[in-house]
Amino acid sequence: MTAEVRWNNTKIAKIKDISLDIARNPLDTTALGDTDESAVYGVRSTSGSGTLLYDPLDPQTVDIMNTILNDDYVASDSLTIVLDTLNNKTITGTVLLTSTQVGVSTGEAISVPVQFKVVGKPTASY
Amino acid sequence: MPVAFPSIKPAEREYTPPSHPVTSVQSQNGVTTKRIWGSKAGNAELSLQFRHIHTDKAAEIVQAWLATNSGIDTLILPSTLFSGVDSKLKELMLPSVGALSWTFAERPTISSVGPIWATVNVRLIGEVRMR
Repeated sequence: MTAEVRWNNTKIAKIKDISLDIARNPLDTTALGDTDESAVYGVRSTSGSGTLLYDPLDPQTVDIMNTILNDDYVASDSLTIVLDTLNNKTITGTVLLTSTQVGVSTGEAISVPVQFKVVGKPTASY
Repeated sequence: MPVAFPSIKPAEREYTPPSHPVTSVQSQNGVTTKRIWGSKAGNAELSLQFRHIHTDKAAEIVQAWLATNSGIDTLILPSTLFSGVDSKLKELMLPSVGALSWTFAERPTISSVGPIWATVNVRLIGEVRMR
């Protein structure tokens, strides 16, 4: 079973790690007289982070690094985490790139940590 | 005609007991004179917050407001409004033999929270009315 990460449906050449956090913040519905807290589902929030390894020959990596410099107002890029390429198990969503960094250390590959926020509901096939 | 207030448990409640109509005058020598103008205490207040309730329940509160003709007609308050209060205090807040007539003191306010949830603030007033 192999995994990969795709940016706009094309595989990113070198990615060190990636994580995705899908959360639904609860809304407190505890009323007077209750002895235990109660809650209902609030809105869903999806965000994540990952670390790319800089590769100037990989168009996806370069495009991600350039995205933060674009003056676009709305999200139009998609990020897909493929959990199992053989069985096409994926999580995908339209993302806003909220942060990128470039880290250079002696004797190590140049790393590019990125953070992103998913706009709308992600789709998943586990 | 009295209107039934919807049976919803509030998340916050603030009660101010009624008071008699009293005027107070302090003369220049420092003596205070008070006069009571009636035998019945009125103008109790009940502020309620219904937090994160379904918008259908919020609609029932608005319907009750409209049914009272904007606070003209009186309300029948369900005991759920006094959840968490023991019987002794509850009897003082909502006497079984009604001395006070409750109605809306002002329009309810509805804050929408999330897809189908709302927080509603209501302020009621308990008045002495002619019978």
